[in-house]
Amino acid sequence: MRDITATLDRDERSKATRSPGLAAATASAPQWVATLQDHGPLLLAAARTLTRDEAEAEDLVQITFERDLRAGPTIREPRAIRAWLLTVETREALRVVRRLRRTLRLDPVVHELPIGGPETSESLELDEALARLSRPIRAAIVLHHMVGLSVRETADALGVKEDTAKARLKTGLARLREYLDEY
Amino acid sequence: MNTESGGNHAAEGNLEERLARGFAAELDRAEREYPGLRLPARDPAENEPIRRAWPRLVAVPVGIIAIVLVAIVGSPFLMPGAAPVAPAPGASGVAFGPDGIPTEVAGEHVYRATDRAAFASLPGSFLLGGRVTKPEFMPPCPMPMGKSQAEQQLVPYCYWLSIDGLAVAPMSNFDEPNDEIVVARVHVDDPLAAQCPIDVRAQCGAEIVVEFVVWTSSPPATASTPPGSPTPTAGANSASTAGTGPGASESVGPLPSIVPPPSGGTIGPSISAPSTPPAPATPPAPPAT
Repeated sequence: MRDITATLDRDERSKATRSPGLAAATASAPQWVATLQDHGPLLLAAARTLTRDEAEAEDLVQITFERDLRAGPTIREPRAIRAWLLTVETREALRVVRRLRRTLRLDPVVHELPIGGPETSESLELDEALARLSRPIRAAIVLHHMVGLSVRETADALGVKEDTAKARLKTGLARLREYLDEY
Repeated sequence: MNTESGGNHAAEGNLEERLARGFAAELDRAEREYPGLRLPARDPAENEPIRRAWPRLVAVPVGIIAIVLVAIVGSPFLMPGAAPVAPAPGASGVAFGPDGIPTEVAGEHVYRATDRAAFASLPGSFLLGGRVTKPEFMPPCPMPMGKSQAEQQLVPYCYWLSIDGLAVAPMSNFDEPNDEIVVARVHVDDPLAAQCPIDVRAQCGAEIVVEFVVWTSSPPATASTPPGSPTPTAGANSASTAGTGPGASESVGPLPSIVPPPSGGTIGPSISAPSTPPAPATPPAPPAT
């Protein structure tokens, strides 16, 4: 992570050189980086659950930090920061090009299960059930039922209307129940 | 975690709890691993191509369509014989002087035997044009006594071929019929002259060595002349366009045969073996009457 911070600091310096006005706006970049770092584990956990791909999850966290650093420290409220970060991460995860690239990957994806959670069999069942959901529906489930965003925040993160988010959540839960009942 | 999505809360409670527990475990794992996680360094500029992916996806088909259109539109010009193509002036053109001897071949000046003073000190090869003369009878030559190998190859000693009376070195790659107009790529100051005895070294260096024949006034023996086509002889210069060579010269339309250079076109100064097939030494038999 220090690597990415250094890269971004360099990028910010070059941007500030090009635009003197931007230099003042990014003066508090170190604090903003620290704030972002605080949300790193949350972003990583959400990305792992959402993508089920370790490499893609790390890539998502990195891209999220880069984009948020470019946006600048304009958000003050911690919950809003968390929602904003998750929004950036989710939209990046749902991008068509990214999904297409992921589909074209030939190497097998291995999703590691967390150790020390619920019983292993329960974790496996839940993991497999989540894997069977489509990515938009899984994103809604992850953001709302797992990360804890409100329906409105989830809808904003997904870039859909609130009703659509509700529908996805309802569909997702129904399918999860269905899949879990099969085990 | 959240239960505000509505529906049957009691039925969904168990599932939501499982989801929450699952994510809590995932979060614990992330908190443990995140401090030691070193994400690969990534240049922020690498994100830009992702944004430009769609324009690129559009640009590829547009480019293919453009190439196809260009191929369709340009095919009449690209297919040989499909459209008249103007010949590049001077690319392989031969400009003739009033005596029928070329003054310029493919834009290169053709020297005459009378220009010996001009080309005697020319470095490298140049074109020499004129009428070929050879003896009617070629007697067997006696063995040259007391002559070095270089001298034998450079200095004519028994009989010799000549272009407009200018003898060419025996080592020349030159075997054209008598009384034919040719343009040959020649050179003087052959490196072999350095091996000549000191007393004849200047003479060796002054000898003209024919590298290959560039142009002849008659088509080669293997070439077939289509019936009715004009015969490019010395007196057949009926074209009236202005010449480009020195002096009063004319350009002709149908080009006489141009003999390609042997073995790739560039020949070093020392050539000992002829590589062009010799033309028939005897004239063709007259038609039976």
